[in-house]
Amino acid sequence: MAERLLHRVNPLGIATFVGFLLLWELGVRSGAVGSTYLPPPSRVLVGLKEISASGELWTNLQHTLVSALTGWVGAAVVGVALGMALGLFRPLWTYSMASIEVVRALPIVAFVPVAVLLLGFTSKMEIAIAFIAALWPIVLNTFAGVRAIGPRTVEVGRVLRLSRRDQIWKLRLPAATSHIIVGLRLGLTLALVLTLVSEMVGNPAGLGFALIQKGQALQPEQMFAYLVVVGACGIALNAVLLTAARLAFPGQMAAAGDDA
Amino acid sequence: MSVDVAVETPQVAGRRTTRRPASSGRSGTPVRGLLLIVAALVVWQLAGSADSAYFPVPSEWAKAVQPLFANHVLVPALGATALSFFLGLGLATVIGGVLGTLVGSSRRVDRALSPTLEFMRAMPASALVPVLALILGYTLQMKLAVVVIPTTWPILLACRSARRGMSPLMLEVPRTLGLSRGASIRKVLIPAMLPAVLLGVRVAGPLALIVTLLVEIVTRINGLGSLLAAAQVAYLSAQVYGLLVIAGALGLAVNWAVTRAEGAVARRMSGGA
Repeated sequence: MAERLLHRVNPLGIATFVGFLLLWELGVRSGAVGSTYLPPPSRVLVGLKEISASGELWTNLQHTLVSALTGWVGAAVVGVALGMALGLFRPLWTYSMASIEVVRALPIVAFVPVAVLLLGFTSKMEIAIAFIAALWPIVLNTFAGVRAIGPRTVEVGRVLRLSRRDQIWKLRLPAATSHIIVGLRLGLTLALVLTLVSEMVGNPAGLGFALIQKGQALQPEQMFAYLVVVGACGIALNAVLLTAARLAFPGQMAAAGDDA
Repeated sequence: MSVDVAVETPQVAGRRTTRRPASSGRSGTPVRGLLLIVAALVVWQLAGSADSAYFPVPSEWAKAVQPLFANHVLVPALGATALSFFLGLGLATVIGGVLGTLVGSSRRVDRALSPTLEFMRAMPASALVPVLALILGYTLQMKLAVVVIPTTWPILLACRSARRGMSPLMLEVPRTLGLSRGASIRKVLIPAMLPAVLLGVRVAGPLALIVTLLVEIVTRINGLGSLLAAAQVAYLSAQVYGLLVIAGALGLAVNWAVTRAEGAVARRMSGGA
């Protein structure tokens, strides 16, 4: 924990980051890295101010986050349940795992045209895409977590004569927690990425559409500002999820080396 | 310390359970499990109707893709997708491997670069597409850049942590043997990093395919993705499903290849580890 705190404050790293930004600024200003559409960081900041002042940033941000999170929450509920079922009932696994692996191998972006076809240019389509994107990592990690339980733990359950239900709630689920968190994190990242794609090619709303729109309107400052927002969103969501997991399941996260 | 090569793969989560052989997860999956998907397709075929606007039966899919094949559209598109995929993944492997090894070899460099790397890694690949399209135009370079940037991270991070965790003893060996710098890189460093590179590629491979299709879908640059997008815009639903199956076949092929490659190296390496 102390090391982690120390790691948080990383003056050298921050200095390097700022250094890169300065280099970028100087490079563009002096014309060394010449591109008409590459704005220096200071202009990006201006762009950020513009989009936040006009309020469009908040509308778009809200739209994207609501879609991505709705799909992700749905995927979390279905995915954990499905992963548990696969891990606990051997026949279910035998007769469906190969199918799941086949479906999972389908590149998720290829689902976007299908979803647009079926659901049209709607938020429902975005949510469906976020759901599908987040579902597989959650299912497979939950499954792996349930399976990874040590034989000792199973024996403890037997010695204590736990009912099957208690075994699931008191042993299997806690043991799988760190795996489930990994799945939730991967799923969250994917849900956000795919929501953006579905906004770019499907529903004209949210951050994804804003990026395309600013590009077509040749407003690179505002476009880069949106890019920064998207990056910050990814980091923030991840941090919130990890912090929540540490607060909710301190024991399990520590037992897993806290690297979930 | 977060290794976080787990950008895509769930398998990484299971790495800690070293007692189980690595192969039990995948190759141990019973083939009987395919019955579910076969049954679903059969039911679809029998219960659906051929002219359904949304759910055309599977036999229609092949028929709808056939003209693309006959008009010499499909094969060049697959070629373009494969070109971006292999070039992009190859570049990402080299860049990620070299940078990751360099970053991991010094704690100071690692500390200096980690916030920058973390931020760039958090950038969703899809958000890069419009930005790079604006800067580089609708070109092959843009397509490659979009594929290379996100696929570099898993390889870079895997190599970084592998290099960091490398035993100092391992680095003493070439010195003791009096190997030249080139020979020590070739004979010690590269073999030692290879499992990490492959672990990264295992994540990056499927990701590269996804990103390649993504660029093609969003920018309509020639490839399988642009065919998919065009079919969707034209409401050729059977063709969309047919192309989805082709994309899935590519996905399976990539998964199979990276798993095999990783397995082969793991077997060779497990003797010494």
